[in-house]
Amino acid sequence: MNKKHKSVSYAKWGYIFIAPFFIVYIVFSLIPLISTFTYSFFEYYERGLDVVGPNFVGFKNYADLFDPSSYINNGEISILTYAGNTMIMWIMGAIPQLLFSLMLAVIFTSARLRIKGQRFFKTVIYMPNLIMAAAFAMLFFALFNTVGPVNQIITSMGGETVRFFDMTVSARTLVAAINFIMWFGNTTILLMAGIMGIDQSLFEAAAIDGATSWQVFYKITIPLLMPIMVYVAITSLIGGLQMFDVPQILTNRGEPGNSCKTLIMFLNDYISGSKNYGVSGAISVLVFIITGVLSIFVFKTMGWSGKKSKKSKKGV
Amino acid sequence: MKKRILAALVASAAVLSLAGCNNGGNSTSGNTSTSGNTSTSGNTSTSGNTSTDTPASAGDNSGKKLRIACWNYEFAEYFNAFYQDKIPAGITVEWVQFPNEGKNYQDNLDRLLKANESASGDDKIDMFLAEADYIKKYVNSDFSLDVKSVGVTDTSNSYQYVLDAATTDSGNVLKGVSFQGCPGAVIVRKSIAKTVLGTDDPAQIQSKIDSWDKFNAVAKDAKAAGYLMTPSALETYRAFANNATTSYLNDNKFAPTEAFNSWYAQAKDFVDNGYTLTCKLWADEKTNEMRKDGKAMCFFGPSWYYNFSMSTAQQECPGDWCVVQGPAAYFWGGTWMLAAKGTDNTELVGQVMNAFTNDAEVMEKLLLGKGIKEFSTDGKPTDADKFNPAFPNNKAIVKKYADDASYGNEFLGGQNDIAMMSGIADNIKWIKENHTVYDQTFNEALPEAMLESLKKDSGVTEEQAWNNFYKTLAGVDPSITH
Amino acid sequence: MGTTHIGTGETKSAKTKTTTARVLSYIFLGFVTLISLFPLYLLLINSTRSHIEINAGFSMLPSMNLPLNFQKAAAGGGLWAGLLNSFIVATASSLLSCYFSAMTAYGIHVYDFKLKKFAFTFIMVIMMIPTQISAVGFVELVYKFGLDNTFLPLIVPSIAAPAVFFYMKQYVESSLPLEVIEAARVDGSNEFRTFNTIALPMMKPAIAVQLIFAFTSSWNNFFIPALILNKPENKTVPILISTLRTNVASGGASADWGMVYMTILIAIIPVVIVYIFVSKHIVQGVALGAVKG
Repeated sequence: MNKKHKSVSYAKWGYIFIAPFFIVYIVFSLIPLISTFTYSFFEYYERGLDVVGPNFVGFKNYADLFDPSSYINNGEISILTYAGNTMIMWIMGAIPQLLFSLMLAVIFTSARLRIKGQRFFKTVIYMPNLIMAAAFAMLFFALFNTVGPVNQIITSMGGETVRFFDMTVSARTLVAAINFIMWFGNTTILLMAGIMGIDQSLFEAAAIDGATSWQVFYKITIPLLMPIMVYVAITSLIGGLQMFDVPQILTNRGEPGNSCKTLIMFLNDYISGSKNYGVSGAISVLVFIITGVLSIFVFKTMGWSGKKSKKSKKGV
Repeated sequence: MKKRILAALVASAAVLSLAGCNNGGNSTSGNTSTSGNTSTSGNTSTSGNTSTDTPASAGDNSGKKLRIACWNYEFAEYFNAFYQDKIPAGITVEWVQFPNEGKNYQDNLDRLLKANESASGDDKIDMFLAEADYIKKYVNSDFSLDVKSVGVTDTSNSYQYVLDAATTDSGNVLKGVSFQGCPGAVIVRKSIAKTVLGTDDPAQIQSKIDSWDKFNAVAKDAKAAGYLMTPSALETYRAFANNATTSYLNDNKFAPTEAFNSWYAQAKDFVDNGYTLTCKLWADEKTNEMRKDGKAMCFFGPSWYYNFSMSTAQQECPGDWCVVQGPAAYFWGGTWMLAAKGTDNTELVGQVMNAFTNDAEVMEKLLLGKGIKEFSTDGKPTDADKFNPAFPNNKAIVKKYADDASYGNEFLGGQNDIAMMSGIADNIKWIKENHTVYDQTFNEALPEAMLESLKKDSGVTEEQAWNNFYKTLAGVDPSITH
Repeated sequence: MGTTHIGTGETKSAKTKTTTARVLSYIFLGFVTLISLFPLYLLLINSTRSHIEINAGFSMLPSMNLPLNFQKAAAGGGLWAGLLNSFIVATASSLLSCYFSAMTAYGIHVYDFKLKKFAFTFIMVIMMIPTQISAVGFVELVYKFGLDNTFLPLIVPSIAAPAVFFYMKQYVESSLPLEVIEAARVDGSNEFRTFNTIALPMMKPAIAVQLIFAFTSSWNNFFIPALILNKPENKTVPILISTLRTNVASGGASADWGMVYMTILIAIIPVVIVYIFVSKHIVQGVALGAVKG
């Protein structure tokens, strides 16, 4: 409706407003990125201080990544295993994270509950995120190792020492727990800001109409929060797929076995080991594709489209 | 989780390395043999570097700054305490420090070295430090200088293995010197030895564990008496690996050495029978065994290990320890000084190297470790005193203290550890064929990967452990086969 | 938070229900507080313990070494210079990142132009690229431009932050009605002024949120700074911490764990202050939200 006259004279402003972002992105990210992706078709790595390549090898790096008998894989398709590990640890952390955050956001923004000391709680939940992940992992390692306080408590109650970091389930759980503790505060803040952006008169109107809190939550909060929920889901997924430092430090590069090794830890093996631009380029293209596919899936299942929320707003 | 933030955190663990490849198009192509582990004469290694021998732009600042690359300030502290006053007027010393997280130090150093000849006088690296596990990489490259060319000609006081480690594979060119030696001993808990072996006299203890067979047999006795032979299955790894008679890498093909197999057999035996634990070298579980009620009899480590890393034992049970040579001579760690190609301070670099290998006064101060001021993170000394003795790489000074009956280490119940370590240092062998640029991987990642197969709860079989290691290896160098 | 009020006609049972809900909420909040403060507590405990005590094993009880650890951490000028450097970088980069992301989101939301859809899709796609990847080439670029040992490469690239943009875009979608912009135009406001004086204030909660996140992420960033800063005087806090940490971890005598944890603790304080300062604006957004309706 109002779109018509807007588009006539103001189009150039659109370009002007987005120009800084694109210029900076192209200079600092896109140019190096293109070369990285190009190298995925090359043999290109370092041995000590020598450089091997770049020699064009076509799709060899990709083929090697999917060939169970290649030097990269030794009997399985590693990248799929690591993608699986990553997804498992992400979901283990993300589900409680989302539930907690949603509950907290509703509690904080609820006019009915009128929670006291909000400033305190809101500050406190963000604290874990301020501790560097490396320090976080170090602390948890000290806490849960065989002679740490947790095991001291277990043995003092007559239990057997639990080797948390020797077992897949407990090691993954601890990784997920750290991610959960570190990030639920952020998610809460995001959702809270989203809820606060909702037109308060809607809540007032609903209250006057005698809606219950659940009705308000399902009929007003959730639909209007959808854009932010999509944001939370997508960025959580992307962040989860890029999980690296917590498992790297906590599980000593993915132990037990490689059961806590994530995609980015895999990528890191090739970058930090031999600066292998070829294989790491190929891995990153694949991680990118995996991320893209999963993101589209999330978009679709969450009924994405910015228009939807607009419509619902207009409908009011 | 926000991508940006996670990404930043990801980064905070410091891993990615930076493009070492220079813009120049003359990188060696294909699988040229590297100077790292074959006998080509270090010439393929100048990837991306033009071979001009004249410093590109010396500028006015030439030689005004002595810039030394390092990963921490330990050497800087020694330098500041023992040598700073000998620096000629008008020259400032700058410590170019990169934390050694992941490969951050090497990545930064590589880039600086590759640009060193064309860097301006103020930005040139004159000297850099390197550790045992990756020294080969720099020794066999063109980025380090023959120490003779900077004026270091007398190395008669150095231990042979320290020199061998810094000698090129081909041509026998000495590229670096060190101020310290890191001979590794067996650090024995005397009270436990008394129970298990019936003696706490170092010489007697040594006679009962001077071969691996004897050592393994004693382990059984220790278990019977309710003790652990070692605190970790990894404890003996370097003592085996340093004495390998063959290389783990032949024609770029990896195969476990006999020494490795012996270690693994011992580790498996020890773990299965409860003679040791499955923790890592720096684990709290191991530290726990140093405590008053600790059960482990034999720790493996050089002087820096018992002087610093055993702080728990120093606190809880000092004097209850002694050092013996054990079944095999080995070393662990060490810092070498190398002159950087392109330096505009050749003479001064040579003087520093000479002082920290040959100057009797400096080397004696190193051994005593007194008068040192701790450095702050800004690369400057603070007021805090630090006691930091090192085992000096100088046979004359070592002999002086080895022969000094009044010298003794309190933690070791007054034992003259210098005498003991001196004997070990003489016996260490650095067989250059057995060392490659991948030493770190084979000294750390390999045994740690195999340790997984010994852990009861891990569910990792020996075969899986090997596969996991091969996967690691593929990241370290894709051209290595197995 | 307290801008809306449920009508005065609450029934008795509704009141009891509210009380129950309130009690449950507080219990839940108490639990969450415990979880959140626990890691901080561990950090605090460790910063009161000596190197030897920490090496000897973990404890849940504090010790006596807090003053000594502080003294050691603060010795020399390293830490304070590092805090200042980190503060400059984090402040500048988070401000740039938020301002330009808001601007980009606004541009795509408000205007119609040919490449609008492409621009949006493009940013969504680049958001999915693992950041580690471009980082490698980025550092190369920094050296090529001769920007090493400056803060510019740590600050300027924050202008293009896809995830911040995405959040802003989602936010304006639900909270910035185009009618407001139209009204401003009718009043004769030019486009930049409309953005700066009308849109930006309405986006305050979103900006506050992303400002905090961007500040924290920049504050804790180790990887890129560690590759481009090597002069002692311009190092940032994570580089200093890494130096201390790796010293201890490698068995050296140069640092001690108590001091490392103390440094980590000190490094958190400025972020907490910034957070408390900025988080006010998340709350203030409510009032604005009410106005626009």
